[in-house]
This record gives sequence, C-alpha cells and structure tokens, in this order.
Amino acid sequence: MFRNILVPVDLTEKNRAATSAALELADSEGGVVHLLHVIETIRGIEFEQLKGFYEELHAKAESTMQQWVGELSSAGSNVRMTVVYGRRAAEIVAYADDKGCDLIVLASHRVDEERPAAGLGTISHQVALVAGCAVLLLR
Amino acid sequence: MKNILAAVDFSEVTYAVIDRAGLLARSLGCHLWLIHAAEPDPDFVGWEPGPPGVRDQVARHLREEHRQLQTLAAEQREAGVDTTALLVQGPTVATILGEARKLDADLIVVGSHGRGAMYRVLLGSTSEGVLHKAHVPVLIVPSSARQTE
Repeated sequence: MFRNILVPVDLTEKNRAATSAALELADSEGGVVHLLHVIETIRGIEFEQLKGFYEELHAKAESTMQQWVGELSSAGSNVRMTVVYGRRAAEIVAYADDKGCDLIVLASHRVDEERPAAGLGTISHQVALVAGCAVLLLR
Repeated sequence: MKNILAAVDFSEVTYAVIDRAGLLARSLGCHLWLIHAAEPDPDFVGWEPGPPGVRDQVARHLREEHRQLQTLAAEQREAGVDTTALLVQGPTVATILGEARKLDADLIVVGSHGRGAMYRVLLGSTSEGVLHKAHVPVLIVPSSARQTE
C-alpha cells in the first residue's frame, strides 16, 4: 500500500503499535519501514562537550530498535533504522522529505478539552501540521 | 479494520483524501464511507414562512453537493471499493465524529491544506478539530501529498 513509511520512535512502548501498524501498511513487495529516533540536542552547549552522553543515547536507541525489529517484523520485512541529532519535529519532517516517504505513523493522544493548549505543542501535532505526506495518528 | 470514513469537503484536497482512503479500503477489504457535512440551514430559514429565495438556494446547493458526492462514490465503486456516500447536515467536526461513532469507523481520513496554510489550520480547521477529538486513528492527507505508487 505504501512504499516508504516513516515511524518516528521515542523508544517508549507506544511506538510498538505504530511500528506494527506501519509493517501492516507497507507494500508487501518493496515497501520499506524507516524507524527514526531523534536525539534532541541541548541548545547552548557544544555537541563535543556532551559527545559521550549523546553516544550513550545513540547506542541505547539502536539496541532498543534492533530488539523491536526482531520481535515485530517477519523475515521478509524491509526495516531501516536511523538515529539523528536535532529538533524532533523538524528532523522527522526533513527525513520524510529526504527519503520521499508517503506516510508517517505516530502514536497520538486526544487533546484534553479542559486544557486544549497542552496538545498544541506535541510532536504528533507539529508533524501533522507541516508534513508533506500523509500522517497517520494512532490512538 | 472494517470501516473507513473519509471526510469530503469538495476542496482541492478532496481527491487526495479519497485516493488514500480508497487505496486503504481496497487493500484492507474495508467499507468506505464518504461523508460530507453540509452546512446547517441559516437560523432564519425554518418551517415558518421565510424568504423562499434563500430556501431554494440552500436546496439547490444541497442537491449539487449530493450529486458530486454520489459521483465520487461511484468512481470508487468502479475501482472495486465497496463505498457509500452520506450527506449529513450539521457542524462539520461534530458531524464527522458523530457519524464515525454511529458507523463504528476504525479510521477517519481528513485533508489538510498543507504547509502554506499552516496558520489557517492552527486557527481551527476541520482536520485540527478531528485530530484532537477523535477516538479512533486519524489519517491526515495534505493536498500536496506525495503519491503512493
């Protein structure tokens, strides 16, 4: 159905459902699911100063994603894993553009009507607003 | 997944919305519901004697929307998708969410107007209302969405 599906992951359990949905929606022949983890860099501090810290996060992210892929995907699934540094929403949209993704799958929650402003800044909301491809928000 | 509801507003994003919703319905063997929430009657047009010109204009408008919606549904049926068109009068977001509940929709597909109109979206469009309030997954399709092969 979809050729290139992007699943941004923050390594929490909710990402499993999004990854699983993406694998179901990907073309059985040639469809690719991209797992992307963005390590948000701390502004105002040089990358080199915290390089060791970022590398630990990087290694942990790769290890967790590899475990998921092993559990969720069948032998024929084409899953790619990438870790990048930067601002999450911007990196997600830029990656989707760069790879020509035709779908982004994200876990999302309903906005609390008592506190509607709390939902405006979420990553899923930001991505849904500016992505150049279709965005699937799971509940 | 059994039921996919696609919200149709006849804007430039409509074909992208139906294209994606139809693709998913066909691939997953789901029923596709094309829903258009027609604007409610103006408050001054009711059962009481009122301006007949306005009533005629509203009726013409609804007939035309009904015709367009049926045409879109027929195109999907020709493409092999089990499709039903529904024209429902009422406030857009509440109507879409209400029909989604009634029809036991597993997915709602809505359009957005893409990057250029970000502020319009932020200021309260249909897609924003649906994505905030829906109980089921929502697929948001921008008018300029990259095509699936």
